[in-house]
Amino acid sequence: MRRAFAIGTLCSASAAVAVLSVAAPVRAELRVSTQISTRQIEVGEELTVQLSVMSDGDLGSPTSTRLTGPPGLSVRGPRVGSQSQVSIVNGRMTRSTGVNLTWGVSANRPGTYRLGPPTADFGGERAQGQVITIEVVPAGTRQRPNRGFPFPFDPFDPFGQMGGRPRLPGFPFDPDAEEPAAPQVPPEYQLEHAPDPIAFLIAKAAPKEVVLGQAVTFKAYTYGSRGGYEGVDVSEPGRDGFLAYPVEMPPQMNAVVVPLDNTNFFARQVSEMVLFPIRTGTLRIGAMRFGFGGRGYPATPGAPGLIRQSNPIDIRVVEPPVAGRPAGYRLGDVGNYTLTAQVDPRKIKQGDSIAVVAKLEGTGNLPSKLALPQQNGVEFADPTSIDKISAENGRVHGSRVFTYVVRVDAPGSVDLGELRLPYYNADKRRYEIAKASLGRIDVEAGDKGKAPSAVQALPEDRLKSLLTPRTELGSAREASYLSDRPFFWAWLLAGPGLIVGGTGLSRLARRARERLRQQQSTPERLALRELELLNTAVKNGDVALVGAGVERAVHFAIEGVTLLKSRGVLRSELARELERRSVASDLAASVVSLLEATEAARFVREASPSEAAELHTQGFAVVRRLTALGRRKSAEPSGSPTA
Amino acid sequence: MKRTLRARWLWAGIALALVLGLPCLSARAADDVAPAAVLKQAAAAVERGAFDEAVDALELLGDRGVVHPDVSYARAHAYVARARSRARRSGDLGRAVAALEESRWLRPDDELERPLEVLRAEIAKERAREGNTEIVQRPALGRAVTELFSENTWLTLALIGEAALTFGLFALLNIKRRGYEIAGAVSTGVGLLLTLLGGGFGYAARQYRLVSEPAVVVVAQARLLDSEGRALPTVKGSPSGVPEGALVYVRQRREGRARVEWGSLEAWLDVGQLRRLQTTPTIITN
Repeated sequence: MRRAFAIGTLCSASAAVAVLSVAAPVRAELRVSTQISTRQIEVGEELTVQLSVMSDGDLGSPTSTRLTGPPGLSVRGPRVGSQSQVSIVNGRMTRSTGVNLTWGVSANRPGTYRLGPPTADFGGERAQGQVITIEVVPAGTRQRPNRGFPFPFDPFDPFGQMGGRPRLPGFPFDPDAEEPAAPQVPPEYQLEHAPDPIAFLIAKAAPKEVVLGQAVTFKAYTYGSRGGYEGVDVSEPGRDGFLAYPVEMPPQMNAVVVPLDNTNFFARQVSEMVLFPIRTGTLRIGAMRFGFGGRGYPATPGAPGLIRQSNPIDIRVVEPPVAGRPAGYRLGDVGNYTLTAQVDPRKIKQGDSIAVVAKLEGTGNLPSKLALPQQNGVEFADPTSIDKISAENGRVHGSRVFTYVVRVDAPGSVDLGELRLPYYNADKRRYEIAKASLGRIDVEAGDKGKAPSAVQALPEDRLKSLLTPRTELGSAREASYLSDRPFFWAWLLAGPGLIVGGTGLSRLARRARERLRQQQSTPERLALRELELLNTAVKNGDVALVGAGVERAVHFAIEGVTLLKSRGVLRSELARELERRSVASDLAASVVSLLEATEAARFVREASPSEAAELHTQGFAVVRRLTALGRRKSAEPSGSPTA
Repeated sequence: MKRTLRARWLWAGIALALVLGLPCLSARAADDVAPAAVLKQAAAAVERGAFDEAVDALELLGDRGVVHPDVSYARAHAYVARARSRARRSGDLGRAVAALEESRWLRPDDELERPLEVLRAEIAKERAREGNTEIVQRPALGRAVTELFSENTWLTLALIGEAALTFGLFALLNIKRRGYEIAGAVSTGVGLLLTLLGGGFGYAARQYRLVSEPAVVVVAQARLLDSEGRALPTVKGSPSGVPEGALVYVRQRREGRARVEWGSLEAWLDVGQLRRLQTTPTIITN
């Protein structure tokens, strides 16, 4: 194997220069072949027709694909697949690209039909296959093959259950078959309980927490308790955010009898895939749909069988750790790889090319790019690659061979450096680097002189001196924003706020003071204050002074309560005037009597503390009664009578 | 007694080991990143034509959380160098624009207007060569006016206005002299205007800063999507995608998509087509 690889390398190296000279893609002759899965089918069965087109140039995408058949035939598709390969013939390396177009064909009545030819256009050039003759026999009359698929894989029917294709031995179950003997239950089939007494579908995925690019194995199992069944109306689970590699199921797989809740269930694995997450977050593997077809399985209304769906599964995808990450690591490169490389020839002339063939082998979603050792005077062209990848036992493994044509313009002994692939090994939870050293080559100086720079010499290169390299760290400050400071906005409004608020408060205080002053100079208050000022005179027994003061107090009180300027009213009319102003007659009489007493007191010249005190007390009593009357009047609604 | 003495010696030994060991550990950790050394290595790699090596080393610094204007600048330099080489990759110029924009954001004093103009002109030229028409997207009026000055300039203006307003109000309300009243009225008017203007736009700038983050398109053209990820229908006269190197503002992220403000237009883009700009350096140098 390694020897063959080396020979291939040698041949490709010798042809490298020739390949380089082919600058633009040239469309070469199309090589077309037609394949058919079988020439005889039953009514309702399906066969596949494949048109393979190969070209030495760039083939491009097919347009106007066509496969027609006579009435009675139903054609689905095509499904388009592509391939690329490098072949070396007589020392000449050629790169071929190919496209496979696959149609599914079924018939609804017996007969012999001519189908096709299948055709497709590639950039204006038509690829045409061969006309195919098929025979359709009545259902149940064709002898079934005992084992294996007649055709590698049917993309339209991965389970082989749609239509009446030859059934896999052991699956689907023959509805009329006897129950198989109960074998030992493998662990992956074991369950604690049956979620449905008739039939159900269980999906499993592991692991459920992965790094970006790490493989997740998905498996789906069917369980039926009413005897044998076949799969009808089967659909794959949605897997947005994953790259899927279906695992080919073994052609012969027996059902397993699983006792659950005192019932024997016939179980079978129906799907297996290896999924590679292509973005981070919580990705969901959707529900898979499976229709149980068989005598014991009542069909869901509107469906050909008893439809059951699997549980959706959430997978948490994170980036691999930053710690220890090597330079050049590309997110998604996860697995376990080895890299080998061959360089040939190792002695060339300046300006000639060599071939570098690198083989990447390992387990995982094989990366499509390697880190190249760049340097001035050495130019790697885009590689061609040949893949050999397979998915088995929950793992994707294989190899990818990259073939680079490398033009060397630097003279002398040139160290080509090494090819590298940094990847994350999820099993070991660490980064590793697959390396392949390319060694040195001898380049004989030619007429071209000094090695050109890797940089293109453009006529108007405005980018040439656009940026000058910086090799030191200059100043860097964390941006500070005024508005991030605490209380900035309060501070911004503080000045005007304080002025407006302060002025307003000052005015309010002034107004309050004014009001207070006004309140304090009401007649009632003046009357009481007059009486309070008489305390000293009472103590001294100055009856005249007390009498004058009490008189003033009483007049203030009358004015405050009745608005009557009582000083100008004759004493004889005062009582009547007061009564007219709603003052009770006894109070009016007391007022008049007191005023007369005060008038008499004016002429008392001798000190008499007892007389003064009595007068003062009477004055207080009358003034209090008057002010109490005033308070009642202000409390009562206007117009109501006063006591 | 003996046991106590031994325990003391043990603790003293542990303390000594920690004192001596911690700086060594931190020095090793610092060496692990050593941005200045990486800058030198990257410049040397560019010089010898190993552009991928330079880009990878500088991108790894970014992955490790190193944000510095000169690291971003060096990244721009490496991308521009690779874009000029035969090893050029699609999106290199867009990534160079992103790195330069980031550098400008981190150190606004740097004169990077011209290089950015040249890079964008180069991208436009390449688009024209590929038959794409030039897309001119007018900026949103609010953001355009707000970005006439920096946030702090607006707020400083507001503070000056506040001082004038304070004086004006004081003179107007508390000094009963004709001259002061006139001065107070004028000062109050001017101060109020400046406070409202500076405070309003300063607040808007703060809101833009807090609710959106700048990003640059790093693919040839990022298709405009709706909130469900479907491509927006092409309408004659309006763009169907955002060109490489365009500065957009991300307002929301959801399921691998970002709601962006691009000029006066708002739409969703695939997050993978954008390069988010870091706006706060993690390495502070004088």
